[in-house]
Amino acid sequence: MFVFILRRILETIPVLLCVAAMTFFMCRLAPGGPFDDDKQVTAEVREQLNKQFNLDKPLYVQFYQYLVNLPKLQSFKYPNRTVGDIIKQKFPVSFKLGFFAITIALGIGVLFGVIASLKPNSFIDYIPSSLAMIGICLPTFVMGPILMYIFALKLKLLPATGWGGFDGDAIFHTDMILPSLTLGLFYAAYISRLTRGGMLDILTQDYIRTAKAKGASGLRVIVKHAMRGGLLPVISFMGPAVAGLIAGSFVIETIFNIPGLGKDFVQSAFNRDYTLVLGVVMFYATLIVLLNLVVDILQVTLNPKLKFNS
Amino acid sequence: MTEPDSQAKPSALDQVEKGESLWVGAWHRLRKNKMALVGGTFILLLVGLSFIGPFFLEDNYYTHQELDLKMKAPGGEYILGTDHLGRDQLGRIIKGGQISLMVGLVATIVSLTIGIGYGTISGYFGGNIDRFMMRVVDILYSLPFTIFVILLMVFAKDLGDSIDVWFKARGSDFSISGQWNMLLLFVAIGAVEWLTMARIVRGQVLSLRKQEFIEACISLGLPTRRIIFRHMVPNVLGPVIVYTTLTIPAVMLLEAFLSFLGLGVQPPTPSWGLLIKDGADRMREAPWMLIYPGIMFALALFSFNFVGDGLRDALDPKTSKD
Repeated sequence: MFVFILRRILETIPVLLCVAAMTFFMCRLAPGGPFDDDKQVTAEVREQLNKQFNLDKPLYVQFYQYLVNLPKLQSFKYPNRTVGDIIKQKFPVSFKLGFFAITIALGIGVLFGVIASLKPNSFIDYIPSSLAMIGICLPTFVMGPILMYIFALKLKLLPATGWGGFDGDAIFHTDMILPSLTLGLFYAAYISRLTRGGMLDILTQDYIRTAKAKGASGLRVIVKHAMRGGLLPVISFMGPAVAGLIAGSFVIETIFNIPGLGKDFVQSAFNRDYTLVLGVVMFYATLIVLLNLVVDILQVTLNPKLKFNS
Repeated sequence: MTEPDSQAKPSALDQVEKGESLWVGAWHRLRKNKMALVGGTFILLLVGLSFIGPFFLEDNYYTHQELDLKMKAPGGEYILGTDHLGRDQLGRIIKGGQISLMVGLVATIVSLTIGIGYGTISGYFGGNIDRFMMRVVDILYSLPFTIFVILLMVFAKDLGDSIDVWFKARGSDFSISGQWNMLLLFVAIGAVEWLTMARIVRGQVLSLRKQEFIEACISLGLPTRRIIFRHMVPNVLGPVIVYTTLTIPAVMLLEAFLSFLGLGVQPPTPSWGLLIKDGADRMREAPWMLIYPGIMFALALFSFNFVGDGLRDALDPKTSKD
């Protein structure tokens, strides 16, 4: 187990290096620079700026410098603010959104999936399963505006945009409900399908019959015996789901006008703000790689079959 | 010496009949699946509407503006209303469907080609090559790919112009910048969506490799390329067809996602993602601008998913009876 974890951690290093190299060279080999769009900037000033940000050095020197002190580098677009500062300020918002969304997704998804699996091809299967299918076919950027239209504009129950109230620092505010719900429901749909499939596989196994035979209550059989194995597909889905949540947050933050990191990332790419782009990509890549590691470890811990193989 | 010959003949016939009955049986099973049939019909209607429909419309059906008829509610001459620039929403949806379906199809073919090629090579050679190639796929799976697609779409946007300049400097009239954004979409999306296909194909090929007829090919000394393309590829067709039907909606979703962020198809050419974006920006004043493209898009995804699920159940009877 220890060797397995160590090997996986060592493996992440070349992966992250590749991500950094791909991002950096994609940025730098594309035509156009960060100061090209400013019409007011004269040629000398631009040269000065390029010098200040080391853009005149050879590419490999720049790449090395970027790698070594990425968090301390200044953003091109927001001078005097370092990449680390911006991430530190904006990420908590995106994290909260993602956290609420994943909680909603797991809560609704697992519940619906388990219910659907109890009596396959019956009434209580069809309703959650069709809801899940609708959820999968309604992407966040359709669902978001529709929910906003119904609950904010027509029923006037919830605020349409914003995050954390007027100041933006409330721990919980009603304006967080719609964005989290929009992002969460899409994944709830996937998770409920995965849960249903996983549970159906498990519920026909012998050990479930044994558990029932020895007199365990129906609820105990499901929660204690079946769900442990039935939720394995959900756990392996969590890795890609996190990557998807991050991408989804780009859209959600745009729709609901939330000051998170995702919105900044898309804008920084348009601005050719190389330092910020590379910083955010590396930050997200590290996050995703680490969470995938956690998912892998969880999988091995929960699935006895995998343990024997390794 | 006649005995092996007479034995070989009926067995060859069996093979042919069995192969046929799989497809016929699959069709029978598919016909019983109501949702898949409804989905399939809807896809055919959609393809007809967006690719044949324009022949009955005026040339500028999706760009023509009536400036005094901005955001007119549905009804009368404009069945689905007009948009914020006074363009017929129905025409926009038809053209948008054409673009979305085309991106869905072409990008799927790109990802299919990469996935099948990669998976076949990995599965065929096996051993260390396979282990390395699949580890690469695992690692790629864990990368934030949407982020790369976004970056690629932003940074390579002006590359088309640069290519034109390069050709012009060499005295050529070759121009690519007009189609550059579409090309970029095909490549960027295709480059992301091939991973699952590679895994599926590799699994199939791996199990095929152990079967007698492939061993026979190898012992006959057929060239590797011939074994792969003539004998293995046709046999992995079933799962590939199923997964292709499921990749198309995934690709369309990614295209719409990019267009929604302003990175996909460039106006005035519409795609459903772009129409949804325009609608979402103006849903207060003109909710129909959001609702109709949204419904069309959701129905299209719905149909492809149902057809894909139906095909999977039909082509793989073992998994169908859950």
